[in-house]
Amino acid sequence: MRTAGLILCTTLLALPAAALGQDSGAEAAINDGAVAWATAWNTGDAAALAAQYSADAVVMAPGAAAMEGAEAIEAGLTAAIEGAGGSQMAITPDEIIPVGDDHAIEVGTFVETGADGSHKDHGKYLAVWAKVDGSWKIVRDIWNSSM
Amino acid sequence: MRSAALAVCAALLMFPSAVLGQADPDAQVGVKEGGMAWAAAWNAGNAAGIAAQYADDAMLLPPEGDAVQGRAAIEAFWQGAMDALPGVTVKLETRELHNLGDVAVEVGSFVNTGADGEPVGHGKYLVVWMLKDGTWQMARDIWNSSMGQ
Repeated sequence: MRTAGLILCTTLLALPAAALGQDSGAEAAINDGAVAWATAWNTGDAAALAAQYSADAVVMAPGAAAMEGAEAIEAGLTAAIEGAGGSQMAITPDEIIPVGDDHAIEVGTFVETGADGSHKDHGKYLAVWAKVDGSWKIVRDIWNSSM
Repeated sequence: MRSAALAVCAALLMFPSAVLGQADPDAQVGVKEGGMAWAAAWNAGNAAGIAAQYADDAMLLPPEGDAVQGRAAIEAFWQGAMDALPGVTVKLETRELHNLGDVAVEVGSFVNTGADGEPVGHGKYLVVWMLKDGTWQMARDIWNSSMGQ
């Protein structure tokens, strides 16, 4: 009886551990996402950039009102790429906090280098990720310059 | 024996369920109170009162500077900001609050008003709140200005 009870406890306790997000795949997805984001920016591919966001995402860029929804985000990112003059972005996720099975918080840093190789900007960001229809998407994104 | 095993199970199972914090109804209240206390502390020039809203291992991600880690450093940061902005008051408004269990994500906006009553700044923020020791505490705080550059 004692053994049976213990097995039952162990089984039941294993479930919440998985629900805590240890196996949610968030970390791998977010690390891949950071690479994909930078690659899309660096190749001027606004559609690929926008594809990282959920349909109802909110992007909070400095110096402007928030962009709400996929259409506004793609338009805003297209304008940002055009205004950046071929700058190159390096993105480093410094911290990934899984929250349950389908959310995660990412905190990281970015460095933007001008097309001429000059240091253009560096700063930090916070992205909230959610698993939407089985794939990880950015649902909220905010950053600022550290300069 | 069976009921004893069940009691142990129930006790053990309560802990993970508290960790998961399924739909803790107090997030709405805790975050609202925390935000009000934050603004009241700023407007009273009370940096320690602001710092008290943060977790001891919180991280602040302020514009135009490096990340600030830990409650003591956060208090020093806000003291410096108050000293640099005498008489400036702040108004915070929560736009969204997502309760994810023992973690809640708040998105909001802020307006700064000068001592003369004129608006001097406005922007948006995102705060990650965490339920620690029964209290909702600010764990990550980032914001930026919404004013055109």
